[in-house]
Amino acid sequence: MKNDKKRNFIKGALVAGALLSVTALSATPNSSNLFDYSALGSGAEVRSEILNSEANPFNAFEAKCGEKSAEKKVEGKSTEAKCGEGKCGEGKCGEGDKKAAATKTDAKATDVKATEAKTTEAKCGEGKCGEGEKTDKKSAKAKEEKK
Amino acid sequence: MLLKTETYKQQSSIAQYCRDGKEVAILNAKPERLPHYRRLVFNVVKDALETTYPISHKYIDSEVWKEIVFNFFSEHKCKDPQVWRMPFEFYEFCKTKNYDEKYDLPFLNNLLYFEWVEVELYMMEDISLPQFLYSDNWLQKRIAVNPEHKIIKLEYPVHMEKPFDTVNKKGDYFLLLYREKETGRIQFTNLSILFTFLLENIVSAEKTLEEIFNDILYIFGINHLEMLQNESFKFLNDLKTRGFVLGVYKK
Repeated sequence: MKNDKKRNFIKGALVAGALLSVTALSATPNSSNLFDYSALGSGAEVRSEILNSEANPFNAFEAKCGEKSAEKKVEGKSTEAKCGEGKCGEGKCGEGDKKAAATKTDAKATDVKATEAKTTEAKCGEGKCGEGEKTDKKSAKAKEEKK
Repeated sequence: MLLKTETYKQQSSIAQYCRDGKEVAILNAKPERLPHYRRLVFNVVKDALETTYPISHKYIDSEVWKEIVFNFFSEHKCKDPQVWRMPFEFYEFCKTKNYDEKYDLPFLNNLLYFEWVEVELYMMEDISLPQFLYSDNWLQKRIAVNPEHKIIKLEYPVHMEKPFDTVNKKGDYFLLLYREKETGRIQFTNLSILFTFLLENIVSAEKTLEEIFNDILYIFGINHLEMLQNESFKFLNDLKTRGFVLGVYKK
Protein backbone atom coordinates (compact mmCIF):
# COMPACT_ATOMS: atom_id res chain seq x y z
CA MET A 1 0.00 0.00 0.00
CA LYS A 2 2.75 2.35 1.05
CA ASN A 3 4.71 1.29 -2.00
CA ASP A 4 1.76 2.11 -4.26
CA LYS A 5 1.62 5.57 -2.80
CA LYS A 6 5.31 6.02 -3.32
CA ARG A 7 5.07 4.75 -6.86
CA ASN A 8 2.97 7.78 -7.75
CA PHE A 9 5.82 10.02 -6.72
CA ILE A 10 8.55 8.11 -8.45
CA LYS A 11 8.88 9.46 -11.93
CA GLY A 12 12.32 8.14 -12.63
CA ALA A 13 12.27 4.77 -14.28
CA LEU A 14 15.84 4.03 -13.27
CA VAL A 15 15.47 4.43 -9.56
CA ALA A 16 11.94 3.06 -9.28
CA GLY A 17 12.98 -0.55 -9.00
CA ALA A 18 15.66 0.16 -6.48
CA LEU A 19 13.42 2.33 -4.32
CA LEU A 20 10.44 0.03 -4.35
CA SER A 21 12.30 -3.18 -3.75
CA VAL A 22 11.76 -4.81 -0.38
CA THR A 23 15.27 -4.13 0.75
CA ALA A 24 15.04 -0.64 -0.69
CA LEU A 25 17.79 1.72 0.29
CA SER A 26 19.60 -0.59 2.65
CA ALA A 27 20.44 -2.86 -0.25
CA THR A 28 21.78 -0.07 -2.35
CA PRO A 29 25.54 0.12 -2.13
CA ASN A 30 25.37 3.81 -2.88
CA SER A 31 22.97 4.50 -0.07
CA SER A 32 25.68 4.76 2.55
CA ASN A 33 25.65 8.37 1.57
CA LEU A 34 22.67 9.58 -0.35
CA PHE A 35 24.50 12.72 -1.29
CA ASP A 36 27.52 11.01 -2.78
CA TYR A 37 28.59 11.63 -6.31
CA SER A 38 31.88 11.66 -8.10
CA ALA A 39 32.90 13.23 -11.35
CA LEU A 40 34.90 10.49 -13.01
CA GLY A 41 36.17 12.62 -15.85
CA SER A 42 36.11 12.09 -19.58
CA GLY A 43 35.86 8.74 -21.31
CA ALA A 44 39.61 8.63 -21.85
CA GLU A 45 40.24 9.30 -18.17
CA VAL A 46 37.75 6.68 -17.02
CA ARG A 47 39.25 4.09 -19.35
CA SER A 48 42.78 4.90 -18.37
CA GLU A 49 41.82 4.57 -14.70
CA ILE A 50 40.47 1.08 -15.33
CA LEU A 51 43.13 0.02 -17.79
CA ASN A 52 46.12 1.53 -16.05
CA SER A 53 47.18 -1.37 -13.88
CA GLU A 54 49.70 -2.81 -16.31
CA ALA A 55 50.35 0.11 -18.56
CA ASN A 56 49.27 3.69 -18.39
CA PRO A 57 48.18 4.53 -21.91
CA PHE A 58 48.71 8.24 -21.35
CA ASN A 59 52.26 7.69 -20.20
CA ALA A 60 52.92 5.46 -23.13
CA PHE A 61 51.52 8.06 -25.44
CA GLU A 62 53.39 10.91 -23.83
CA ALA A 63 56.62 9.00 -23.83
CA LYS A 64 56.32 8.66 -27.54
CA CYS A 65 55.12 12.17 -28.15
CA GLY A 66 58.46 13.46 -29.29
CA GLU A 67 59.03 10.59 -31.63
CA LYS A 68 57.66 11.40 -34.99
CA SER A 69 57.19 7.82 -35.97
CA ALA A 70 54.99 7.06 -32.98
CA GLU A 71 52.84 10.07 -33.55
CA LYS A 72 52.48 9.15 -37.18
CA LYS A 73 51.41 5.68 -36.20
CA VAL A 74 48.51 6.93 -34.14
CA GLU A 75 47.42 9.47 -36.69
CA GLY A 76 47.76 6.97 -39.47
CA LYS A 77 45.41 4.65 -37.70
CA SER A 78 42.63 7.15 -37.42
CA THR A 79 43.14 8.34 -40.96
CA GLU A 80 42.77 4.82 -42.17
CA ALA A 81 39.68 4.33 -40.13
CA LYS A 82 38.11 7.39 -41.66
CA CYS A 83 38.88 6.19 -45.15
CA GLY A 84 36.53 3.29 -44.84
CA GLU A 85 36.47 -0.32 -43.95
CA GLY A 86 38.74 -1.55 -46.71
CA LYS A 87 41.72 0.27 -45.31
CA CYS A 88 41.04 -0.91 -41.81
CA GLY A 89 41.17 -4.47 -42.94
CA GLU A 90 44.33 -3.95 -44.91
CA GLY A 91 45.96 -2.30 -41.95
CA LYS A 92 45.63 -5.55 -40.14
CA CYS A 93 47.17 -7.62 -42.91
CA GLY A 94 49.86 -9.90 -41.71
CA GLU A 95 49.44 -8.88 -38.13
CA GLY A 96 48.44 -12.32 -37.09
CA ASP A 97 51.97 -13.53 -36.46
CA LYS A 98 53.26 -10.22 -35.26
CA LYS A 99 50.66 -10.12 -32.55
CA ALA A 100 51.93 -13.28 -30.98
CA ALA A 101 55.36 -11.79 -30.71
CA ALA A 102 54.10 -8.41 -29.66
CA THR A 103 56.47 -6.50 -27.46
CA LYS A 104 55.47 -4.57 -24.37
CA THR A 105 55.71 -1.39 -26.37
CA ASP A 106 53.28 -2.74 -28.90
CA ALA A 107 50.85 -3.51 -26.14
CA LYS A 108 51.10 0.03 -24.90
CA ALA A 109 50.54 1.39 -28.36
CA THR A 110 47.41 -0.71 -28.61
CA ASP A 111 46.23 0.73 -25.33
CA VAL A 112 46.75 4.22 -26.61
CA LYS A 113 44.49 3.42 -29.47
CA ALA A 114 42.01 1.80 -27.18
CA THR A 115 41.71 4.68 -24.80
CA GLU A 116 42.52 7.84 -26.62
CA ALA A 117 41.30 7.11 -30.07
CA LYS A 118 38.24 5.07 -29.24
CA THR A 119 35.65 7.64 -29.94
CA THR A 120 37.61 9.21 -32.74
CA GLU A 121 37.68 5.93 -34.55
CA ALA A 122 34.11 5.24 -33.75
CA LYS A 123 33.35 8.44 -35.52
CA CYS A 124 34.45 6.85 -38.73
CA GLY A 125 30.96 5.50 -39.30
CA GLU A 126 29.65 6.54 -42.61
CA GLY A 127 26.75 8.32 -41.00
CA LYS A 128 28.80 11.28 -39.96
CA CYS A 129 31.16 11.42 -42.94
CA GLY A 130 30.94 14.62 -44.86
CA GLU A 131 29.56 16.66 -42.01
CA GLY A 132 32.08 19.44 -42.19
CA GLU A 133 31.29 21.17 -38.96
CA LYS A 134 31.13 17.97 -36.98
CA THR A 135 34.39 16.72 -38.47
CA ASP A 136 36.11 19.93 -37.47
CA LYS A 137 34.79 19.52 -33.97
CA LYS A 138 36.05 15.96 -33.95
CA SER A 139 39.54 16.76 -35.12
CA ALA A 140 39.71 19.67 -32.69
CA LYS A 141 38.69 17.29 -29.97
CA ALA A 142 41.21 14.69 -31.02
CA LYS A 143 43.93 17.29 -31.05
CA GLU A 144 42.94 18.50 -27.64
CA GLU A 145 42.98 15.01 -26.24
CA LYS A 146 46.39 14.35 -27.70
CA LYS A 147 47.73 17.40 -25.91
CA MET B 1 18.62 -0.16 -56.75
CA LEU B 2 17.51 -3.75 -57.12
CA LEU B 3 20.18 -6.30 -57.87
CA LYS B 4 19.88 -8.99 -60.47
CA THR B 5 19.05 -12.32 -58.90
CA GLU B 6 22.36 -13.80 -59.97
CA THR B 7 24.37 -10.87 -58.60
CA TYR B 8 22.51 -11.06 -55.32
CA LYS B 9 23.18 -14.78 -55.16
CA GLN B 10 26.89 -14.30 -55.80
CA GLN B 11 27.13 -11.54 -53.22
CA SER B 12 25.27 -13.58 -50.66
CA SER B 13 27.53 -16.54 -51.31
CA ILE B 14 30.69 -14.57 -50.74
CA ALA B 15 29.18 -12.90 -47.67
CA GLN B 16 28.29 -16.29 -46.26
CA TYR B 17 31.74 -17.59 -47.05
CA CYS B 18 33.29 -14.61 -45.28
CA ARG B 19 31.21 -15.41 -42.23
CA ASP B 20 31.62 -19.15 -41.85
CA GLY B 21 34.51 -20.07 -44.13
CA LYS B 22 32.65 -22.95 -45.71
CA GLU B 23 33.71 -23.40 -49.30
CA VAL B 24 31.37 -22.01 -51.91
CA ALA B 25 31.43 -21.88 -55.68
CA ILE B 26 31.59 -18.27 -56.74
CA LEU B 27 31.57 -17.36 -60.38
CA ASN B 28 35.03 -16.44 -61.73
CA ALA B 29 36.54 -16.38 -58.27
CA LYS B 30 39.90 -18.01 -57.63
CA PRO B 31 39.43 -20.25 -54.60
CA GLU B 32 42.94 -19.60 -53.29
CA ARG B 33 42.22 -15.90 -53.08
CA LEU B 34 38.92 -16.11 -51.24
CA PRO B 35 40.43 -16.58 -47.76
CA HIS B 36 41.97 -13.12 -48.03
CA TYR B 37 38.52 -11.56 -48.31
CA ARG B 38 37.43 -13.43 -45.26
CA ARG B 39 40.47 -12.34 -43.31
CA LEU B 40 40.07 -8.70 -44.32
CA VAL B 41 36.39 -8.56 -43.45
CA PHE B 42 36.95 -10.33 -40.16
CA ASN B 43 39.71 -7.88 -39.28
CA VAL B 44 37.38 -4.95 -39.85
CA VAL B 45 34.85 -6.45 -37.47
CA LYS B 46 37.46 -7.47 -34.92
CA ASP B 47 39.14 -4.09 -35.05
CA ALA B 48 35.86 -2.20 -34.66
CA LEU B 49 34.92 -4.29 -31.63
CA GLU B 50 38.29 -3.95 -29.97
CA THR B 51 38.19 -0.20 -30.50
CA THR B 52 34.72 0.18 -29.07
CA TYR B 53 35.28 -2.24 -26.19
CA PRO B 54 38.90 -1.73 -25.08
CA ILE B 55 38.21 -2.66 -21.46
CA SER B 56 36.31 -5.82 -22.34
CA HIS B 57 38.98 -6.76 -24.83
CA LYS B 58 41.73 -6.25 -22.31
CA TYR B 59 40.25 -8.09 -19.34
CA ILE B 60 38.28 -10.92 -20.89
CA ASP B 61 40.41 -13.97 -21.55
CA SER B 62 41.74 -13.64 -25.07
CA GLU B 63 40.52 -17.08 -26.13
CA VAL B 64 37.02 -16.33 -24.84
CA TRP B 65 37.02 -12.93 -26.51
CA LYS B 66 38.15 -14.48 -29.79
CA GLU B 67 35.42 -17.07 -29.57
CA ILE B 68 32.73 -14.52 -28.81
CA VAL B 69 33.85 -12.27 -31.65
CA PHE B 70 34.07 -15.17 -34.04
CA ASN B 71 30.60 -16.41 -33.06
CA PHE B 72 29.24 -12.95 -33.64
CA PHE B 73 30.99 -12.72 -36.98
CA SER B 74 29.80 -16.06 -38.21
CA GLU B 75 26.28 -16.15 -36.78
CA HIS B 76 25.02 -12.60 -36.70
CA LYS B 77 23.72 -10.83 -39.74
CA CYS B 78 24.21 -7.16 -39.03
CA LYS B 79 21.19 -5.05 -39.72
CA ASP B 80 22.62 -1.59 -39.54
CA PRO B 81 24.60 -0.42 -42.57
CA GLN B 82 26.68 1.94 -40.42
CA VAL B 83 29.84 0.23 -39.24
CA TRP B 84 30.09 2.28 -36.04
CA ARG B 85 26.75 0.85 -34.88
CA MET B 86 27.89 -2.72 -35.36
CA PRO B 87 29.33 -2.96 -31.81
CA PHE B 88 25.87 -2.29 -30.43
CA GLU B 89 24.62 -5.33 -32.31
CA PHE B 90 27.53 -7.21 -30.78
CA TYR B 91 26.33 -6.16 -27.31
CA GLU B 92 22.80 -7.31 -28.11
CA PHE B 93 24.12 -10.55 -29.57
CA CYS B 94 26.05 -11.29 -26.37
CA LYS B 95 22.97 -10.56 -24.29
CA THR B 96 20.78 -12.82 -26.40
CA LYS B 97 23.32 -15.61 -26.23
CA ASN B 98 23.64 -15.29 -22.45
CA TYR B 99 27.39 -15.19 -22.72
CA ASP B 100 27.57 -13.68 -19.25
CA GLU B 101 26.38 -17.01 -17.87
CA LYS B 102 28.06 -19.21 -20.43
CA TYR B 103 31.52 -17.77 -19.83
CA ASP B 104 30.93 -16.90 -16.19
CA LEU B 105 31.32 -13.20 -16.79
CA PRO B 106 28.43 -11.75 -14.76
CA PHE B 107 29.52 -8.18 -15.52
CA LEU B 108 29.74 -8.73 -19.28
CA ASN B 109 26.46 -7.11 -20.35
CA ASN B 110 27.04 -4.13 -18.08
CA LEU B 111 30.59 -3.67 -19.27
CA LEU B 112 29.70 -3.82 -22.95
CA TYR B 113 26.78 -1.45 -22.44
CA PHE B 114 28.86 0.99 -20.42
CA GLU B 115 31.50 1.06 -23.14
CA TRP B 116 28.95 1.31 -25.91
CA VAL B 117 26.95 4.17 -24.39
CA GLU B 118 29.92 6.49 -24.66
CA VAL B 119 30.16 5.88 -28.39
CA GLU B 120 26.43 6.23 -28.83
CA LEU B 121 26.36 9.52 -26.98
CA TYR B 122 29.43 10.82 -28.76
CA MET B 123 27.88 10.03 -32.12
CA MET B 124 24.38 11.22 -31.38
CA GLU B 125 22.92 14.04 -33.42
CA ASP B 126 23.30 17.49 -31.95
CA ILE B 127 20.36 18.60 -29.86
CA SER B 128 19.81 22.31 -29.53
CA LEU B 129 19.83 23.71 -26.04
CA PRO B 130 16.52 24.64 -24.44
CA GLN B 131 15.75 28.30 -23.90
CA PHE B 132 17.07 29.07 -20.47
CA LEU B 133 18.00 31.92 -18.17
CA TYR B 134 20.75 32.32 -15.65
CA SER B 135 19.05 32.72 -12.32
CA ASP B 136 19.87 32.52 -8.65
CA ASN B 137 16.38 31.51 -7.77
CA TRP B 138 16.29 27.83 -8.61
CA LEU B 139 13.75 26.67 -6.09
CA GLN B 140 10.59 27.89 -7.78
CA LYS B 141 11.85 27.12 -11.27
CA ARG B 142 12.39 24.14 -13.48
CA ILE B 143 16.07 23.49 -14.02
CA ALA B 144 17.36 23.26 -17.58
CA VAL B 145 20.12 20.79 -18.38
CA ASN B 146 22.29 19.82 -21.31
CA PRO B 147 20.01 17.61 -23.42
CA GLU B 148 22.91 15.57 -24.77
CA HIS B 149 23.11 13.18 -21.91
CA LYS B 150 22.12 9.78 -20.65
CA ILE B 151 21.57 8.38 -17.16
CA ILE B 152 22.13 4.66 -16.93
CA LYS B 153 21.82 2.04 -14.25
CA LEU B 154 24.38 -0.70 -13.84
CA GLU B 155 24.41 -3.78 -11.65
CA TYR B 156 28.19 -3.93 -11.45
CA PRO B 157 30.47 -0.93 -10.92
CA VAL B 158 32.31 -1.50 -14.19
CA HIS B 159 32.71 2.24 -14.60
CA MET B 160 34.94 2.48 -11.56
CA GLU B 161 36.78 -0.79 -11.19
CA LYS B 162 38.42 -3.52 -13.18
CA PRO B 163 35.70 -5.88 -14.39
CA PHE B 164 36.71 -8.92 -12.36
CA ASP B 165 36.89 -6.83 -9.18
CA THR B 166 33.19 -6.06 -9.54
CA VAL B 167 31.93 -9.64 -9.51
CA ASN B 168 30.97 -9.61 -5.82
CA LYS B 169 29.68 -6.08 -5.85
CA LYS B 170 26.29 -6.53 -7.45
CA GLY B 171 23.95 -3.67 -6.62
CA ASP B 172 22.41 -0.54 -8.07
CA TYR B 173 24.86 1.88 -9.58
CA PHE B 174 23.88 5.01 -11.44
CA LEU B 175 25.91 6.89 -13.96
CA LEU B 176 25.38 10.20 -15.70
CA LEU B 177 27.05 10.69 -19.07
CA TYR B 178 26.85 13.92 -20.98
CA ARG B 179 28.52 15.40 -24.01
CA GLU B 180 30.32 18.67 -23.48
CA LYS B 181 29.06 21.24 -25.93
CA GLU B 182 32.43 22.86 -26.54
CA THR B 183 34.67 19.83 -26.85
CA GLY B 184 32.29 17.00 -27.66
CA ARG B 185 33.94 14.95 -24.93
CA ILE B 186 31.79 12.59 -22.91
CA GLN B 187 31.93 13.21 -19.18
CA PHE B 188 31.04 10.58 -16.59
CA THR B 189 29.60 11.16 -13.13
CA ASN B 190 28.83 8.43 -10.65
CA LEU B 191 25.57 9.22 -8.83
CA SER B 192 23.88 8.21 -5.62
CA ILE B 193 20.32 6.97 -5.89
CA LEU B 194 19.03 10.25 -4.47
CA PHE B 195 20.85 12.39 -6.97
CA THR B 196 19.74 10.06 -9.75
CA PHE B 197 16.16 10.59 -8.64
CA LEU B 198 16.77 14.34 -8.50
CA LEU B 199 18.27 14.45 -12.00
CA GLU B 200 15.63 12.23 -13.56
CA ASN B 201 12.96 14.55 -12.25
CA ILE B 202 14.85 17.63 -13.36
CA VAL B 203 15.27 16.14 -16.84
CA SER B 204 11.55 15.39 -17.13
CA ALA B 205 11.03 19.15 -16.55
CA GLU B 206 7.61 18.63 -15.05
CA LYS B 207 8.26 19.95 -11.58
CA THR B 208 10.01 22.85 -9.95
CA LEU B 209 13.00 22.09 -7.82
CA GLU B 210 10.98 22.76 -4.69
CA GLU B 211 8.37 20.18 -5.71
CA ILE B 212 11.10 17.65 -6.40
CA PHE B 213 12.62 18.30 -2.98
CA ASN B 214 9.26 17.64 -1.37
CA ASP B 215 9.00 14.31 -3.20
CA ILE B 216 12.50 13.40 -2.07
CA LEU B 217 11.67 14.16 1.56
CA TYR B 218 8.76 11.77 1.37
CA ILE B 219 10.33 8.99 -0.69
CA PHE B 220 13.69 8.89 1.03
CA GLY B 221 12.32 9.61 4.49
CA ILE B 222 14.59 12.58 5.00
CA ASN B 223 13.67 14.98 7.79
CA HIS B 224 16.10 17.78 7.12
CA LEU B 225 14.98 19.93 4.26
CA GLU B 226 17.84 22.33 4.78
CA MET B 227 20.44 19.61 4.50
CA LEU B 228 18.74 18.26 1.38
CA GLN B 229 18.72 21.69 -0.19
CA ASN B 230 22.30 22.48 0.72
CA GLU B 231 23.68 19.21 -0.57
CA SER B 232 21.58 19.34 -3.71
CA PHE B 233 22.56 22.92 -4.49
CA LYS B 234 26.21 21.99 -4.03
CA PHE B 235 25.73 19.11 -6.46
CA LEU B 236 23.79 21.16 -9.01
CA ASN B 237 26.23 24.06 -8.83
CA ASP B 238 29.07 21.67 -9.46
CA LEU B 239 27.23 20.28 -12.47
CA LYS B 240 26.69 23.84 -13.62
CA THR B 241 30.40 24.57 -13.59
CA ARG B 242 30.90 21.35 -15.52
CA GLY B 243 28.42 22.42 -18.17
CA PHE B 244 25.61 19.99 -17.47
CA VAL B 245 23.19 22.25 -15.61
CA LEU B 246 22.45 25.27 -17.75
CA GLY B 247 20.12 27.46 -15.70
CA VAL B 248 16.34 27.65 -15.43
CA TYR B 249 13.73 27.34 -18.15
CA LYS B 250 12.46 30.62 -19.56
CA LYS B 251 8.86 29.53 -19.24
